[in-house]
Order: sequence, then C-alpha cells, then structure tokens
Amino acid sequence: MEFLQNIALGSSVVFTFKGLASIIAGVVAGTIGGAIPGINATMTMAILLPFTWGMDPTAAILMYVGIYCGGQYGGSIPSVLIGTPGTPSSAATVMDGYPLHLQGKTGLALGMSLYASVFGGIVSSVALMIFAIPLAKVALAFGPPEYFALALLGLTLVASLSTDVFKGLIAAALGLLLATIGLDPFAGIVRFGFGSEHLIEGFEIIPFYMGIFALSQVLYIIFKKIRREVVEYRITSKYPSTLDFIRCLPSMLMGSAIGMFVGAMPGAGASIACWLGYNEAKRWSRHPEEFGKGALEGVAAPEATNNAVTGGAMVPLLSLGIPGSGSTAVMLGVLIIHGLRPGPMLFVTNPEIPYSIFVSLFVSNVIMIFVALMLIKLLIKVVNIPETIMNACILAIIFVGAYSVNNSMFDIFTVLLFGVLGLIMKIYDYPITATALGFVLGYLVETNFRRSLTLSKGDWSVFMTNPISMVIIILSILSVAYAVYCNHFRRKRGAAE
Amino acid sequence: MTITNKSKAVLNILWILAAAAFYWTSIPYSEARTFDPIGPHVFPQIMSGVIILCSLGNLLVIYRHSKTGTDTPETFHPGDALRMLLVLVVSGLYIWLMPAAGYLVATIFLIFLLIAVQGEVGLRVNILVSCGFALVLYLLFSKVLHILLPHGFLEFI
Amino acid sequence: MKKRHLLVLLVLAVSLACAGALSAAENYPAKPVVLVYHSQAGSGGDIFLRNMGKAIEKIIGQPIIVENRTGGGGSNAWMYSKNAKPDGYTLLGISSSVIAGPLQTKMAVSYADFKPVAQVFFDPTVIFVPAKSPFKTFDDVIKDARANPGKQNWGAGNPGSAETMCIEKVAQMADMKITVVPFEGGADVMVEIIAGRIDAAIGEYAEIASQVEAGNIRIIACLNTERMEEAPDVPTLKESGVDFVFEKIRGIVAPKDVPDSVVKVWTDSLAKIYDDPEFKKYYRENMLVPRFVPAEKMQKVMDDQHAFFKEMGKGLY
Repeated sequence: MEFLQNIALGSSVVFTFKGLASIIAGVVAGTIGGAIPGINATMTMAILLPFTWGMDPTAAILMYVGIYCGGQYGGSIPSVLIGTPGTPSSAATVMDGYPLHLQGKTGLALGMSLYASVFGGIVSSVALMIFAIPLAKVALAFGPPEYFALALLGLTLVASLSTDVFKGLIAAALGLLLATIGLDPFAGIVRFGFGSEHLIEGFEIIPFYMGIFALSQVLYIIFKKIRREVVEYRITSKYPSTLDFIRCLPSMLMGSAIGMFVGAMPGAGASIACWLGYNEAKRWSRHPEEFGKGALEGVAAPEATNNAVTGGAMVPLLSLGIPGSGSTAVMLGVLIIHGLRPGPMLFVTNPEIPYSIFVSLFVSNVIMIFVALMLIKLLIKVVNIPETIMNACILAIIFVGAYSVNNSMFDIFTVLLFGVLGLIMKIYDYPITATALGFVLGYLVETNFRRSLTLSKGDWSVFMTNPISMVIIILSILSVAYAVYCNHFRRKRGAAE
Repeated sequence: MTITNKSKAVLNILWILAAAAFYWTSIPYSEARTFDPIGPHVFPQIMSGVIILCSLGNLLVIYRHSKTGTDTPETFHPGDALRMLLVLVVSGLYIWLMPAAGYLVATIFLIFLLIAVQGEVGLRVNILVSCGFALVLYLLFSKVLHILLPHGFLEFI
Repeated sequence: MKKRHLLVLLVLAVSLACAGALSAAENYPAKPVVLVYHSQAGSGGDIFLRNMGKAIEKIIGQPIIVENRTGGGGSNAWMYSKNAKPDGYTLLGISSSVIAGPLQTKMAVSYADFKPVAQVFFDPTVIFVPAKSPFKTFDDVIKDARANPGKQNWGAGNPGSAETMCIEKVAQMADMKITVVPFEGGADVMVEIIAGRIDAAIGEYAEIASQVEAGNIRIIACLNTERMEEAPDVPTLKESGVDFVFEKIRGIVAPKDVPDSVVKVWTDSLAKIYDDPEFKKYYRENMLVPRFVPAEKMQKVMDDQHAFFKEMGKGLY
C-alpha cells in the first residue's frame, strides 16, 4: 500500500510539464551524445551539469535519467550506420548491426536496436524497483563500519576490474586523496589547502567532473586524431515485424538479465555487459554461425543489455548511495550539489526523489521511441557537425559552466587541472572512473572509517567484529588479491609455458 | 612517436613524488585537536601509501617487460600532440583574458582560436561559428540562467 | 547674458543633483534590494530568505532578490557583501555561521565587518535521545556519563558547528566525560539516534520534529531561554540544572557604511513581517521562533555568540 502511494507520489512529479520536459530534453541530449563517437553518456552528463543549476533537484535528476537511457540507445546508431560504436557500450552492436546495414537491411537493424533498447530499459526499470526498495530497507540498519566496507568494496572492485589492478588502485586512491582536500570533517583544520580560500571546501564537484570526464576526452580526441565518418541516416528497408520481435525475445530477455546484473556490480558497466550479452545470445542461439554476418539477435541482445544496465546501475546508487560507474557517479553529483545524499534515508526523507526516478526510467524508455522515430533525422545533423567545431564548442560550454558554479575563475582552472590529469590517465590507460568514484565517495569512506573508530574508542577490530563489514572487507581484499594474481602472476606462468 | 617505457616509469615516479608530498604535508596535522581517535593525518597517509606501493609495483612490471620485451607500445603523431598542447595554451590564455576583456569578447577569441589551432575549418565558417556560439552561450547563461558573467570593458552588456 | 544663463544652468544642475541624492536616501528603496546568502538556492536558509523577502516586498514596495554566492565556506558571499556599495541595495542574510565560519578558517572577513540590521528569528536547538533510551531527563544523562566516563556517544555536526560546540560546553558545565562523534548534518545524526548507535545528540528541532511525532526520538531538553510553544513539556536546559542558553541567529546585516536611515527602514519593516499570513504559515511549519532584536541590541547578541564560539573553538582552529 505504501509502495503504491509512493509510486503515485513519484508519478505526480514525473507527469507534469516540467517533469516530462526534463526527461525529453535528457533523452534528446543523451541520444545525440551517445551517437557521437568519442562522446559517451558520462561525458554528456558532465557537460550538461551547469544547466542543472537553475533546476529543482527532481527536474535535474529526471533529465539525467533521460540522458542515461538516451545515451545507451544513441550509441547503436553509428554502430549500425558507419560501423563505429558511438559509445563503448554499443561496441558489440557493430558485429551484426553493420553487416545488416551493408546488406541493405538498415531499417531492420536500427528498428531492432531501438526496440531492444526500450525493452531492456523497461525490464530493468521494473527490476530496479524490485531490488532497490528492499535493499534500501536493509541498508537502513547499516552503521558506519558497514558503509565504510561497502564503499571500499565498490572502489576495490572498480580497481580490480580495470586493465591493471595497480593502475586501478592508484586511480582510486588518488580520487580518495583529492577528496580529503578542504575542511577536515572531524578536526577543525583545512587539509592541503595551502592557504587558498578556494580550497577551504576542497575542489568543487562540477569542475572536477567536467575536467576529468569531458575536457580530458576532448583533449584525447585531438591527441589521437580520432576522426569519424559522416553518418548518413537513411532507412533503406522496412522496420522489424512483430515476428522478428518475437524471434529476438529470448535474446532480449537474456540480455536484460545480464545487463541488470552486471550493471549492479560496481566497475563492470555497460561496455563489458554488452559483450557478455552478445556472447550469451550467440552461445544459446540455434544458429550461432549467423552471428557476425547479420543476425538480428546479434543486435537485439547487446542493445537490450546496455539499456538494462541503467536500471541495474541505479540499484546501489539509490539504495546505498554508492555508485559503481561513471554515469551514476555524475548522477550522485547532481543530487549532492542540490543538497541531497542518496541512500536509504532518501527513501524516508525525500521519497519523491527515488520513486520519481523509478517512474522516470520507465517513462524515459517510452519517450525514447518517439524521440527516435520523430526527431532522429534532426539529431543526426548535430552528430555530423565537424569534430573541430564540436570540440571548440564543448570547451566553451565547459568553461562557462565551471565559471558559473561560484562566479570564479578558479573553477575554470580546476577544469584544466583535472582535464590534464584525466588526459594523462587516458594515455597511460588508468581507469578514470575509479578516480571519479574515489573523489565522490571520499567523504563517505573517510568519515565512516573514522566514525567507526570513534564509536569503538579507537579499537581497530571494529571492522572485523561486525559480521557484515567483515564479509564485505574480506571480499574486497580477495578481489584485489585475485586481480593481482590474474594481472601479474598468471601471465608470467603463461609466458613461461 | 611512441609512448615509451621510460615515460611510463617517469609517470610512476611522479605518482610516488605526489603521494610523498601529500604524506609529508599531512604530518603536522597530527597536532590538530580532533574528535576521533586517529586524527586527520592517518587517512591521507594510508592513501599515499597505497599509491606509493602500487607505483612501485608498476615500476617492477615495467622493468620486467623491458627485459622480456613483451610490451606493445602505443603510437601517436607529434603534430596531434602539438595541436593538443596549443588547445591547452589557448584555454590558459582564456583564464587570463576573461576578467580583462569580458565574457563575450574572450569567448569569441577562445572558440576562434580553438578552431583555428585544430585546423580543417575555413576562416569564414570559423568566424561565423565563434561569434554565433559565443553569443548563444552569453545569452543563455547571462539572461536565462542569470549568471553574473564578467563584463570587462563592455560595461553595457 | 550667455554667462548668466550658464550660471543659472549650473546652479540648477547642482541643486537637481543634490535633490536627487537627498531623495535617494529619503525615497529608499527606489529599486530592487539584493539579499546575499552563502548557501545554494533551495537550502533551508535560502528558502527562509525568499519567504521573508515576499513578506517584506509588501511592506517596502520593492522586489527583494535573493542572490546565492556559494563556495569558500561562506567567504564568497561575505566578502562580496562586505565590499558591496553601501547604498542599502545589497544586504546580507546571516545565520550563526557568519560568526563561527571566519573563526574556523582564516578569512579576510568577519561578522564585525557588518552593521547589524535586525535578528528576526532563532532556530530552537534541542537535546534528544532514542525513544527506547533509558534517559528520561537530562539528569539521567549526567548521572550515566559520570558513572561511565567516555562511554556515552554524542552525535554532533562538523567540528566547527554550533551543535558540536554546544555539546562540548554542556559537557564541560555538567562535568561529564563523553565521546563526540561528528556527522555531516542533522539527518545523519537522526538516523544514528533512531538506530540507537549513539546515545544522545544536539540538533535543530525542525530537523527532528517529524521523528519526535512518529515516536522514534525523545527530546529531553531545549537550549532556549524559555520553553517552546510546540513542545511545552520539554524543559529548558536551565530548568534541568545547567545554566546554558544557545539560540541560533537568523537575521539581516548590512555593509559597514550603509546610512542609518536605510538601516532604520529595514529594522522597522522587519518588525512588521510576523503578521503576514503566508509567512506566518511558513515559519510555523518550519519551527522557527520569532525573536526580534533591533539593530542596536543585535550587536551584543552577535558579540556574545562570538565570544562563545571563540572560547569553545580554542585549539580547534
């Protein structure tokens, strides 16, 4: 009963002019951002942060749900049309989407990717509610040691799943270290402030995200001279029929389940999930030999998977307040800059926020159909703006956006600083997501660490005497140990053989 | 040009130096009066330790790879790297120019130079885009979002 | 002939200009007044100022614009108002943090850089415990703390916050040894109290009122001068045997050189806002207690609070 009331509350926020307009704006922006190779949903979110300034928190977060969904779908458009994925999460779609396009079945491929995206998104929005609400109820009983352990697990998983666990750990620790700059939460001193009044509260979250997610990527595009072909949007064949849809239903269901699960795991994310979805669809198919040559299931499975990731990734974000990916980290930032901290308490103090997110994830996917069918030709015109002009315009937006946070030039400087840091990390293959997560979770990690020790009067065994935190801490140690083994010891043995 | 093992080693040494700087800076924080039993210096020091240990691990891996030669270096063009550096220089210039020249003028310059530095777009298109987009951003942020942008010498806008 | 014309014109111009300047003070306010505030749009203090602004608009007949200048731990807003033109069109909305903030971190501004206009409200601060706690009165708390030194955990805000300092002062006056556990804000403290992981806390009444009604939290004392209208059964700390009073300020101050005539316009209009029906509904819902302190007395209120923060912050800053 309480559930229905809350859903009604969420719907009353979403189904207003402002709510729907925010979602539509988000879906449009996300689709454009996703469809531009080199720009992903996270970067789109980072660029648009200043526009949330004047919005109320619900409208802002609804827009970000829209961007998230649109971004996952938009990536498939260039995958099909030019054989280059718009985002890493639609890389698997290229495998069968591009051959279908070459065979002249463009409409079939684009249609299927749309339907599968919407299907995966809707399934995951339902699953999000099923998992997030009970988990939040459980999490309400969590104390400082449990929260410290959970955030630690999130960070170590992200570090372990990156290409090299040492690089992952450096990136995560760097984020945590950057988060300690500013006023200390337990003593009245400013740490690492170097006497600058700009650093009293530490680095602002908006310029940090803009630098590390957006500026670094623009610099990287210029550095690597990433050029894309012109995307020509022409429907050369009919859309998929109901029969096609039913034929792909099993792969979409499987993809949705995988996407949900992988999305909920910190660190894995859509770029890994889409390949898992693709491979599973191929393995269980009755005609696996068609995969790679234009199998419709080969489009349906990864697209259902990457959109199902959205719901999965929001489970830990909403119920625990601990994001596991870049996109959800930015969404956490949007809530924080509006003075809201996601987590179990948000369900009690501001139920309209989590419940409107549940409803809006569903609505975003429905809106996506209309945006994709009606506006897509217009959106592709934006995608085809030359990268030189696009890069310059993105930088101009980032700079004015950073300035508008505090009306201060220092924030533009912050963008540049973290843009260069992010670029170096990209060039040397360090996971930026780990740094971003470390930065946004740093306060949570450190305060709960020190609070646990305060409550235990300085007894360090507090983390191990509490059963939940003990299990979680052991898991995170194991994840690092296993990753070190895989990265550095197994390889040596393989080379020796 | 390639990204050499030497540069990777330099990066790891830089991480170690940065982490050591954080560690060293945080030592006097142990004097501060605090409400928790461990004090403000412990957490940053643990993080610095993690960075130092992992960088040492990386150095070891690099050393081993340079011996066995199992490394596949990534390549890039010096011209593109130069373009990227110029983009950074122009951005730095922007920070310096904006308070003096005002938002609108500085941004027109920014976009114009950014496009010019990257090349490939004609002068006429460049001028059109830089003036147009700067004006759009100015109107959006100043008039719609009510951000107080620097006027510079153009007091009237 | 021509020269005389010129002279007449000159005199006319000068007198006009003088008249203009005079009427500027007399006809204050002749244009919208900006209220600067240090936290973001949508925060509690910002919503308060916006609601108060609506009530004042009706009295002074000019729009009130709330301008949020965030960042720098408040110093961005305070520096901006300190350096603003002292014409009375830029004023500063304050809470107790303008007194505590500059003490905590080195800032080129302090509360003494402003001219008081008026305090209008205070936020009731209360001591509360979990509903299932054995403590029924503040005396129980003291007895327990003295029997088990260091065992009692108290939830507080940031180290420099008013709540934390109040806890320390109360503990000092009641001669009890306790453990202070800082939290980011009142909501976090509330969760820990409901879960029973901490034994007691000091916080704003408005933040916990709903949980008191729900029966999860019990208030055992308030730090006001007199009992609260909404909770008449809760004794003040003074009645409980500890002679300590703390009332969080909500008020308006102006740049130092603003003419007294302008301050008077504001003090007079602020005195009239309490009867505005919409505003009344707002401040009652948000548990703000009217406490009108005019300009001449507000300086002492701020000085006293400054002395308290300074005393408690020794060694912390």
